[in-house]
Amino acid sequence: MIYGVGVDIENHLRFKKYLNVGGETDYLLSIYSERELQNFSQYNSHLCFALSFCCKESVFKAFGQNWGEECMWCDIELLFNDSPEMKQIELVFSGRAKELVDRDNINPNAVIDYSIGENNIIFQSVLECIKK
Amino acid sequence: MAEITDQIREEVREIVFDFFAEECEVDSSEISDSTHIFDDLDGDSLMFLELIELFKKKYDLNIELKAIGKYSVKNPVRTIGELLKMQLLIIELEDKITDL
Repeated sequence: MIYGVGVDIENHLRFKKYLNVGGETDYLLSIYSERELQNFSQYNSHLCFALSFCCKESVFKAFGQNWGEECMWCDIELLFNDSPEMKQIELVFSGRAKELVDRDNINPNAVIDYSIGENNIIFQSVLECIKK
Repeated sequence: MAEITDQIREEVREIVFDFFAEECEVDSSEISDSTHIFDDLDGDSLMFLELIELFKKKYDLNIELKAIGKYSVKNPVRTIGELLKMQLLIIELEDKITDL
């Protein structure tokens, strides 16, 4: 059974500034986990930041919630196993998002996909309930 | 926490208007308190986060995004006027905003 579907669109060019933040990581750490920032640093692409943010937004929508209602940005992580264009990604729920997944019997292997355009990216997430 | 003076009120207004004018590529004269952030300006939550960060730095605020998130769930921000009100409350109350 489908638990929720979420779609988000972002202009990925706006995330280019996040590539060169130097020591100013406090702000980034309010959106991305340390594990994500480490993962992104392997690819040196603003698309990692954009896609992760877009993913988090789409998952919030699939949960039927706003950020801060139960989970926060860092509770939903998107990790890349190859460059962003290759779509080798892994969605990880932690903290309050993991609690929500466990509580509502949601399949943690969510169906996720994205498209990258010249200016925009679109990310979609489908959360399913696991049959008991 | 800071007492909200007329000067702070004016500063916040100017920062918010300039921020949205630049991010949304509109003239700040086209923005008013009743301007809808999402429908009229095509704004989004990333702008919201960046603006909060800007105020955190400017006023050296000790507030977690979680507290702002909780407040905004109960008090959704849709217009520039609502955003100004929330930013002033953040400056005035910081983390205590969740007590409202």
